[in-house]
Amino acid sequence: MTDTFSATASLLGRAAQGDQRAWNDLVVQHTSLLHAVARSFRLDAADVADVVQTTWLRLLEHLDRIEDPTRLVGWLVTTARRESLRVLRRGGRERPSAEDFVLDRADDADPVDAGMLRDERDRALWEAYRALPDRCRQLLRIAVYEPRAYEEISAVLGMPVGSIGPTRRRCLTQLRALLTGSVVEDEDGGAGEEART
Amino acid sequence: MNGIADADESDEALLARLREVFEQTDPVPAHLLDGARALFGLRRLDEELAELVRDSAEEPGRLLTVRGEGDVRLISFETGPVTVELQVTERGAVRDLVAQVTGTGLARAEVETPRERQAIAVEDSVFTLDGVPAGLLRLRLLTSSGRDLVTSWVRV
Repeated sequence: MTDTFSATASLLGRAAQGDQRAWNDLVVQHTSLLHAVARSFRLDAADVADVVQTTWLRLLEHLDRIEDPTRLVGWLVTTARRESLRVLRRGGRERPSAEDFVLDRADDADPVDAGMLRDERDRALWEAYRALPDRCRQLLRIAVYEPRAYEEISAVLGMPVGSIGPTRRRCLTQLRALLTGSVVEDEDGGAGEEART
Repeated sequence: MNGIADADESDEALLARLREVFEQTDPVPAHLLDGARALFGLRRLDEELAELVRDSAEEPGRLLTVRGEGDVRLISFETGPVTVELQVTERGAVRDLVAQVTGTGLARAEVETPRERQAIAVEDSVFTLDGVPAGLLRLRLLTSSGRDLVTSWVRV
């Protein structure tokens, strides 16, 4: 924790002084997470790129204003969420609740390329993941990068922090159940169809 | 067939495996990383940020409306006594801009995108630029007292 804190503080400080390498390190460390946040809103590749780029620009203009380096991840995630919602609104597709929106949205932006997964265990895991309820998918999509960042995950999902731990546990239990109970061989490679019992 | 599911696999191990799966099925495109690294070149140490304080596109009354041709969006930025009002008119894939700066005199104004900058003629603290491509932009201003101001980035 302290190591992470001082490492992040140092990177932020050096980047604020104009050190490109420190900035590169921040980008490498956190872009996967930002990509995952935007993806969790089912944005397509172009919109995801917009969100990631805008989020980094926001950090760039606030580099010397991040008072608490321990909150950097939270700051980035919150910014990426806001930009994702902004992108959704821009399409004139806004609903009163962002959550309704995510749940209603068709699954067409979710990249499916199970064919890339040659490992049978990975394919089974991917198909089990895709059979999960939306809320679990959104939570796990982010949790894989920051397993303990309940506050940040709650910010993205718009759920109370206290419910993240139990929800995460329930989602993992469901994932395991799908893995053990209802894994089906999928010869046509179409992971779009969910395995059902 | 063995080991498709391992009952003893810890939450952390399962999440780590899922992460690897995401990295294969939905990898972060290299251009995203390259683009984010390159953004650093847009930063200058001695410039002052005029923060976004109001954006008509973000106002609750507009949430359910569909934006369209000819819509006018008003965006305000502030730093100290300086206010920048930006009016954006949508025209297909391009935007027409009108900006007005109050609280300071202006020596120079530019519209900046992540790719380029374009100088604009300033007259009485008002300047206009037509046909800017839709996307991210900000205004870069030099005040008559020699201060460099930039606005927050906005996507228009």
